[in-house]
Amino acid sequence: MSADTPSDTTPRLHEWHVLSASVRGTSHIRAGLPCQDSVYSRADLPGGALVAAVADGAGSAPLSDIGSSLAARESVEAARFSMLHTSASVSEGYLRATAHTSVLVARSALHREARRHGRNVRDFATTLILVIVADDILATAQIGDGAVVVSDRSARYSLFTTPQRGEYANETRFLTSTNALESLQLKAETIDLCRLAMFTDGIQNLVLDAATGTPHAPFFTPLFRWFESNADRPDSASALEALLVSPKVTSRTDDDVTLLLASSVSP
Amino acid sequence: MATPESHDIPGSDDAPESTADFALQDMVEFADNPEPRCPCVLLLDTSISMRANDAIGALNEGIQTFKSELEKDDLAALRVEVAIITFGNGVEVAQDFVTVDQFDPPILEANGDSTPMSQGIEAALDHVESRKQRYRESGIGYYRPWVFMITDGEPTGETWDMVNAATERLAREESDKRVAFFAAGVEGANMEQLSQIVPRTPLPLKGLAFNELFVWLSASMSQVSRSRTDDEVQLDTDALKDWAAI
Repeated sequence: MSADTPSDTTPRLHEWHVLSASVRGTSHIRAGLPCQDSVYSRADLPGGALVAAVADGAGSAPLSDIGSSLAARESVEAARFSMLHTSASVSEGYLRATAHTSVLVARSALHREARRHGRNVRDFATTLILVIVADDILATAQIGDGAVVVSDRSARYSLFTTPQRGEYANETRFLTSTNALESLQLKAETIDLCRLAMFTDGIQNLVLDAATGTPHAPFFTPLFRWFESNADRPDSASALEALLVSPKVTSRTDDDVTLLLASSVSP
Repeated sequence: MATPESHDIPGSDDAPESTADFALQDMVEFADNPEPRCPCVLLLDTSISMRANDAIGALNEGIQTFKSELEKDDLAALRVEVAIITFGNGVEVAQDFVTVDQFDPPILEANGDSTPMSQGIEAALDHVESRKQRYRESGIGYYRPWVFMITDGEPTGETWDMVNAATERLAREESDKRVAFFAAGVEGANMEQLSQIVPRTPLPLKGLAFNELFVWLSASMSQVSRSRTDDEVQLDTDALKDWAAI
């Protein structure tokens, strides 16, 4: 066992580097629609915890850009607030419950916003994926499509959450759906977590192998290698954005695309 | 927002340091998954009465319009798969499922001496089901299939039992969301009976506005092929009025 490998009893103190980009799809640009995806994260918690969310507003819902932004921010802030003020010790059960509650907070925020505007909450329809990382535990809450990919220190990538859909490729669940909470996917596990990527539906078909349902390693491996050696560059966010609006992406999807990368690996 | 084509202008002071992003795009490779498919069956009446006012000629032109409209939309061209089933001279698959680039619309002739509509409906539902099976076997995602029926008559040459069986099956498959089935009636169609057979209200075609119908259908398929929903796709009712007497 090397010196920097933590023992089973001592949680590793992660320091998370986070990089994210959320870009407007070409169909949204053509139709004059805003980017309806949102991403929000906080890595300023004691003990190196990380809370992050991505949300994908429904194209058919007129205020889904507000919906996704509110859902991402409210869920992350609710989780952060809970973690800052709790006396509970970090455990799988606690983080799972926190993820669950934070999604409920985000859902109420959307209902409140809808009432304030005198609108139907469906007008704010959005998916939501929330992740909380503390010590060596990863907790996720997900409604709808998109996914969370993780890797251990040997850079083996695997799916932590799976895109939620029905029989049809375009069917999904929204946080605002009446039966949304029935389809809430909650998970908390103690894992050897070194890297995490989360993304919305727009890029899903480009970064997961459909036949096997596994992360496409020729995408994630070089991406994280690049991220870990460029994490401190001020232009790394615009480089990630440039990737997401490059023809390699836009020839395959005309939807908004959001990608968040988090790594605790030092260069 | 910077695009990869927007190369820095030499000598420009505010040109960003963008070596990192160019490298990034060359470094990563994307998964080469097949596009999800959006199957659409045209279920067409080719009984001899379709010769009246050369409705069949207008229909053939409309199908050409359908192809050229779909071709204008890059994403729909990759995703929409068209099949044509005719009912008139028996039931025939005049065109099996193809993506738009391989769609060479057959010229349909109206020479059927009956209108075996319920057998046509059964064949369309069977065809859709076996296509879904193929998608699943090949790991290809798919959208809810559409069947679009066009007729100028009513079921003939088949028993009431056959009509009832097709009606019941269609109602079941619609309510299970296995298919979205639309029907349009050309002048002379028995709209009352048609509305008893198909669950969605059948729409009477304005004159021979097949071109408008297929422009609308193509726009609808384009919309379906990029939609994301936990419910029904909203139809464009304004454009619907271009061809339907509603």
